[in-house]
Amino acid sequence: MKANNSRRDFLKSTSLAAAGFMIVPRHVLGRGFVAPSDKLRIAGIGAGGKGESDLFEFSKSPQAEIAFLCDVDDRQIKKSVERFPKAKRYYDWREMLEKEHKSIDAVSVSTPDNVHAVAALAAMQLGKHVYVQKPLTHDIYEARMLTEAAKRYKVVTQMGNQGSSGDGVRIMQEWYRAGLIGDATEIQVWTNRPIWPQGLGTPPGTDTVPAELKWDLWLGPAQEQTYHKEYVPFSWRGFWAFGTGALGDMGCHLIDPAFKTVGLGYPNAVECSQVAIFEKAWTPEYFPESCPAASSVILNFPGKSGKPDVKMHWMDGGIIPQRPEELGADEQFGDNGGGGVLIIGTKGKIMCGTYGADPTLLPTSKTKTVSVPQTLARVPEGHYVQWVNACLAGYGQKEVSSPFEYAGPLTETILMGNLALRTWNIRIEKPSTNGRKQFSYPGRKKLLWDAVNMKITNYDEANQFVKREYRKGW
Amino acid sequence: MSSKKSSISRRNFLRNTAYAASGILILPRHVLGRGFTAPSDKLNIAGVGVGGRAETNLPRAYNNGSDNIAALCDVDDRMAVKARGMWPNAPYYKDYRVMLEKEGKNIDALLITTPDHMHAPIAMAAMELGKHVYVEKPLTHDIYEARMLTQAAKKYKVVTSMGNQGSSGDDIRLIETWIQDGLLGDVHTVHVWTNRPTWPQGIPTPTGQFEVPKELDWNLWLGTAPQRDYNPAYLPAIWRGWVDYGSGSLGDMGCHFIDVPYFALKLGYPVSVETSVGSVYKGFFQEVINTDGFPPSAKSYIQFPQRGSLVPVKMIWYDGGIKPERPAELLPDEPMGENSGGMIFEGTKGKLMAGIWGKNATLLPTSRMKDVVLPKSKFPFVEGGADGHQQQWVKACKQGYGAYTSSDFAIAGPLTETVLMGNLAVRSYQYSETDAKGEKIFPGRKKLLWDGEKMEITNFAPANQFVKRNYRSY
Repeated sequence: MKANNSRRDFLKSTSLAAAGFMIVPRHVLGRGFVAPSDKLRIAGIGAGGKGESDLFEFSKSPQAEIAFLCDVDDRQIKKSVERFPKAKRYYDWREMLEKEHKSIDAVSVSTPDNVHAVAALAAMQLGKHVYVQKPLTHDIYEARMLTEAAKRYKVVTQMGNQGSSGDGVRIMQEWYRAGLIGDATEIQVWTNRPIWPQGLGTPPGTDTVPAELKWDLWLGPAQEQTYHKEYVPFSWRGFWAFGTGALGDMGCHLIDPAFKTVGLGYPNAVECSQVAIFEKAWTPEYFPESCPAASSVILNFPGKSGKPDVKMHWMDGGIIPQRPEELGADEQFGDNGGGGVLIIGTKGKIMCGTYGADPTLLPTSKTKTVSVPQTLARVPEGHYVQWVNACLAGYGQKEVSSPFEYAGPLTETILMGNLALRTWNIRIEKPSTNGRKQFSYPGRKKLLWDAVNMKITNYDEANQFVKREYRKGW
Repeated sequence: MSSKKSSISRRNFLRNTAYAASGILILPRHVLGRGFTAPSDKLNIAGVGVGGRAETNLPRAYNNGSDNIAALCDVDDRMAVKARGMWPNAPYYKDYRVMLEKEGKNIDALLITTPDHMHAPIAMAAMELGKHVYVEKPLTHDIYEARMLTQAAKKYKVVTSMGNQGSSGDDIRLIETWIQDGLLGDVHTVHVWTNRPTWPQGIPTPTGQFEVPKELDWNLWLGTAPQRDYNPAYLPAIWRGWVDYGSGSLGDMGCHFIDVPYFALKLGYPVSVETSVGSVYKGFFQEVINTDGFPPSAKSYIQFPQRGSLVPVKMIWYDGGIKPERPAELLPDEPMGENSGGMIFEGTKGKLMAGIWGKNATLLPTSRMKDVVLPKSKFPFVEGGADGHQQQWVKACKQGYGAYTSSDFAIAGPLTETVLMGNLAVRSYQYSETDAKGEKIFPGRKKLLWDGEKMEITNFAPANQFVKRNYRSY
């Protein structure tokens, strides 16, 4: 009942509903959403940067047609417009969906994180298949809603963690299922992200909005804020209003191989610590609006069917785990500098790089000695074309590597880390003992998570980070 | 190490000291005869570095006149104002070398509270003159210096103490008793963390031309450190973050935390060290590694071997805000450690958590404190506890060599070496070379193997430059 209510609130609050668009049930649309030409007509929301390469990858399928391009920034969309000159261009995806929905089969969302959910849900409500960049959403609540929506609207979904279509993840699953490392008890994951300045607070001052940028549309459901050139096109990642930090950027690429291999679901507890920033001696800076420069997050997953609990330890910003005993002193640990994953089981260890690259048993010499039969189909067509083909085949007909039923819980897990990082910064002023302002930080403890009800049960303040308030009109 | 090698290295050390360079005659102790004991039975103490922390150290040593502050020395008149006001009759010097030459006969002991880089040269010069020494923590700036001071204390038969006052507290004795009584079983892992640095680290080297304040003798402040223009960003206190003068978080707080496990577990020299550090980015993909300074945070693993019947110990050090995982036995809402940091011992039969200096030690789960009968301390408490640390040294000086102090160099030396091993790892981690392709590589980012007797990293030669500095002649 409760969940239903909140879901209804969510639907009501999306731009699509608010702007008075009618939500057309799928049966009304009938078969019309499959292009008669057997082509998949794709609309790209966010067509620069990663969006640009996503659309290019889809277009490698002869059956994909990039039919519409939507971006709030003329500079970002430039290359895609040159590449797909026939595609009609929009600035506001709401307008595009309203006017063109009959000519669109599928939507790719590659905007800043804060817009993912509203754009994707609007498209799904119109029966469109969706490909959404990682992390699936900005908020935990949104991830849950998209996961439910994929089922409800029976659309083909894929998150943009392209490594999930690689061989590495499949090899690791085959090893794990063959019992090579026993039962996983601990997972260590690390990234060198952020590789941009982070933890510095809101940039001071305000800049003139460039003529090419529609700032109000860029903000989307985020709260009103004056433009600053530092946010666009990339550094929005480091600010909670728009992005999801290092976890959001790389978590889906790094946690995915372990999540899939071990078969994890929702966590039940999270704790963290993060680097403090001192610009002057003795008093730390306080930037609750910024993602931290470095952090350590520990999530606990309850053991399934008699198996032990699994602990996942995430490290970013330069801090990495201890090198495993079995790894030679001069052997590479994870990627060459980028990050890595270590799955520790009761009988052995598996290591891999970002995207599940180079899976290795430890000691590394063991890798060559094992032969586990291949049981999982590979994805030679790749992550993008896999989705295109699945969309053409229709809901439930073809497997995709990262459908929302999988990507949703994975994204929630990643965002749980962010919930802990933001809760860490909740502070309450307390009586001073030294003439300087002093604070207590009641959120710096282990937070217990009731996944079914999406609620932190031992610190209510933390629940503000489960779901944002959208800006009025969104 | 052979005694021959030892004396050779010591000779090199002496040759390098500013003291030798300035041509002052080093008097063997027997020449001084008994003259160094004050007839009044008061200990005649000279303070070198008399501001900041010395404003606590000197009054405690003076003890309302039970002992005598015989001379004061500071390179900065501003830092000396308070001490000179308190002891207006004590002759005041700017250069400790001049002070030792002119006041040698009137001084029994030195209390040294300078920046880290001057600890060893001053202490060694004093010890060579047969003076007892109290040196602030960390004992020295370099591992090599710590070894030399440890040997010198024995050779010159002087009473020594390092300023880790917690080593005179009741708590460390209780923890030592509990652990040695087997309450934790075999202790194999120790986590230690601090909130330091609480000053900016990972920042650019300060630039600009500044006039040296007239109260400050910059050349003397630099002492043995390389020539560098004066900059107000270095003093007072915040020299800690710069490798030429300070020793970062570990140097500041390591001795206050690590002494507890070091004493309780009789750790000795480590066998390996491994680290990773928080990164700093000034722009997108633009990492800045400033080897002039310490990074904003670090996590280091220091491994100790089997010691008699004691099992090997892994020590994990965290600073800059990164903390260890909360022990499973700690309830979600219970605080872990305290604001300035903490320590957790893990043994085969239990865990123990404490704050700085071993304060508020508790077995885990905390309920276990009610369930077990806690043994009384096997070690006599020091009069005044941690606050009695300076007086303990003063009284020991009057009793003469062999009298007990809580942190005499025989133990403070190896403790300091261990603390500085973390810094050696951090500096090796930041060390880069350019490979054949012109790419920057970091060959020191691995587990570094340490030969404690020889004071040598055996698997990465460039790391050994961080064992010992070259002194500047000044």
